[in-house]
Amino acid sequence: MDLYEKLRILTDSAKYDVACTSSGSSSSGTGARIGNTVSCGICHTFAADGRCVSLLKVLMSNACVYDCLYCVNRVSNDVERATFTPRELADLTIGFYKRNFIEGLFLSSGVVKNPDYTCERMIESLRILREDYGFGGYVHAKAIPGADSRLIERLGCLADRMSVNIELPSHESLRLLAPDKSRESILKPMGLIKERIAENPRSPALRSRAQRFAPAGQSTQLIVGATPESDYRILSLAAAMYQKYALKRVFYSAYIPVADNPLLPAVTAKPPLLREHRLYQADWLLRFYGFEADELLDETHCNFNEYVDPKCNWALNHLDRFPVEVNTADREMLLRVPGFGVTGVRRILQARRAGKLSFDGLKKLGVTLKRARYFITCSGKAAPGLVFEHESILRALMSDSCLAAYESGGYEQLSLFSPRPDREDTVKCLTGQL
Amino acid sequence: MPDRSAVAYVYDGSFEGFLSLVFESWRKKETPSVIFPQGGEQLVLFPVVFVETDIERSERVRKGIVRAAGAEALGNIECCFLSNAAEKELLLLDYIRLCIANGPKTLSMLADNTVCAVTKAARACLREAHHYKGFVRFSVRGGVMTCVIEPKHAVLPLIADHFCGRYSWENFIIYDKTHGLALLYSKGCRALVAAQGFEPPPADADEREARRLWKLFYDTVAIEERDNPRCRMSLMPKRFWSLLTEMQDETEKPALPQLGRLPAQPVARVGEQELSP
Repeated sequence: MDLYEKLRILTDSAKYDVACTSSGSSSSGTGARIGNTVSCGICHTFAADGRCVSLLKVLMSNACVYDCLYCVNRVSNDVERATFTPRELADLTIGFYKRNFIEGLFLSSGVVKNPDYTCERMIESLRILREDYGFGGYVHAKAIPGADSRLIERLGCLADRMSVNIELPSHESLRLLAPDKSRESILKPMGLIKERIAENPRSPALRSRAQRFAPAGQSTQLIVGATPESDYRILSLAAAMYQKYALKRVFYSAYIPVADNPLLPAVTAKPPLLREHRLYQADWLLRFYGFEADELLDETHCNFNEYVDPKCNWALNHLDRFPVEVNTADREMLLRVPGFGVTGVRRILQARRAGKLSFDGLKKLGVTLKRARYFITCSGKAAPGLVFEHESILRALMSDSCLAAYESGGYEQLSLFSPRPDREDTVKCLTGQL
Repeated sequence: MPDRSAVAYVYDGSFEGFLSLVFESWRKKETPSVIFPQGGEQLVLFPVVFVETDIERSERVRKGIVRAAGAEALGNIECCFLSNAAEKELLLLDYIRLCIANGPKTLSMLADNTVCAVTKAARACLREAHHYKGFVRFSVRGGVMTCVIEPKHAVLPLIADHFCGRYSWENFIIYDKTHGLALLYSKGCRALVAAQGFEPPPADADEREARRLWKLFYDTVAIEERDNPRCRMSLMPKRFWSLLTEMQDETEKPALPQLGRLPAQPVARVGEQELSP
């Protein structure tokens, strides 16, 4: 099999992995023969599905001996199989890197023979890159659950970021759909990685590449929509993992049907993209906006509103906290205003040190007021010309696509998990209290 | 805004030249009505004064800005100067005056028209520079990596450190066609020089193979069920597509030579093309 075919097969089988970020690691390139890393990450292109491509994302091999029902590479599935040699993979990475196609390599693998053997092959690829080529670019390596801890340790010393996929949001689902993986085999390497990262020297000056263990931290990924867990359960799990394992990111992956099995959604089901989008919005609220999972959802409201984003939903349920006076409110409260982002709030805080802010001033800062204007005052005054009228409020609070769906009668994709909220209820929620 | 004197200033187009012009404007206590770089002269009714670049004077202005308003203010001025903002020299002259008068507070005066315009121009320039860090594509031939870019803003000085660190043991050329500038780098030495009409060498077999593999990777990594051309377009605007190896058959006119060998099923592909109107 030639390299072209291998690349086709092993890209195709890696594409469902979500993480393609190259952030969190910073090195100027001195000390490496080729390659640097930039802490904010760099997107090199965007695929036709709109996802950022910053790393060469491939599997070492898709000849997997496991039989996880939700995975295209399961042993019982009839697909073409291929395996890179470590040298092929390293050469391909350098060739792409030189042409500035990529920031580095994202290396995962199906389990070939056994976890230890798989891990050794991955280590050999990374060793060639780091030692033979002197490569200083970004490497994201997947830890293979069940591999020996010494191998995980070695892998982490060669990589910038490590990740272990938690795969499914609950123990029961995992047992049902991934019989070869156990919660323990996933959490054990996660714990190990966390401890090793904590041992990294604090001062960046002391960190030569060889001494650092996964300097860009650890992330994980779980599949949404293959199993019946609620958004509340998923978000609580993510919040707990951020705390317990000091994760940099939790990635959510809308389940795309790959198998006809009574335990899984029908093959014709559309991937729950909106649900995934809401989870990401909520994830950002947890990490950057000071929200707790319990504020966004609870046992009685266990799924996100399909029409408005989680922050807007929170605001509509806490109208007693609004309107917020832009000139005096603290950062925490400004971050809770629908439509204000971290950058916008930073600019507001900076600008108001120089003088009182008006609505015109906010516009000059580049702050979007489409949603925010319903929730703020400037020097005690509401936005001029603000219309509290059904249509205009809906238009302001919903994204274009949600509004279109709302007007045409709603989404189909969430109906799997919850009875659709009543149209009347939604209207009341959006307008009744305003 | 101060009263404008009926005079036009011309400078050599360099940043040092512009700072010398600022010095001259203060020394004469006059604010010109028009400023333009040498070679970009327009027909004006005012007398034209050519300001010589004076490194010592430009250094004094530079230090004065940092002393009054801090390094961040100077950073804004430099980025805005590289941008394609209309009448950026006049804008910056006003901005520098504000910096000297108000100190570090100037940076926060975002509701002021001048400060707002300078900040926006600097931001646009930095944003484009960041895009170019990702969207530049090198061709490798004979141990030299080359690429041609056409940025709106003169981003080359802003991306130079990044690429020099990234390819520290390599040799490369980045040619900015819009501004007639080239960054030359060879194993530790770099130079930013004026250049015109640079043509990269044609792709050899290795280069074509690398492009073919990359195009394959790009086409394969997208998930069909998630197809979202609008999202791609907003994150990667069309003006960058001519740079990108992977987008070559998606733009009407291929800017790069044909990519490698024929695809796996050439007959079917050709047939489709012929059938489509």
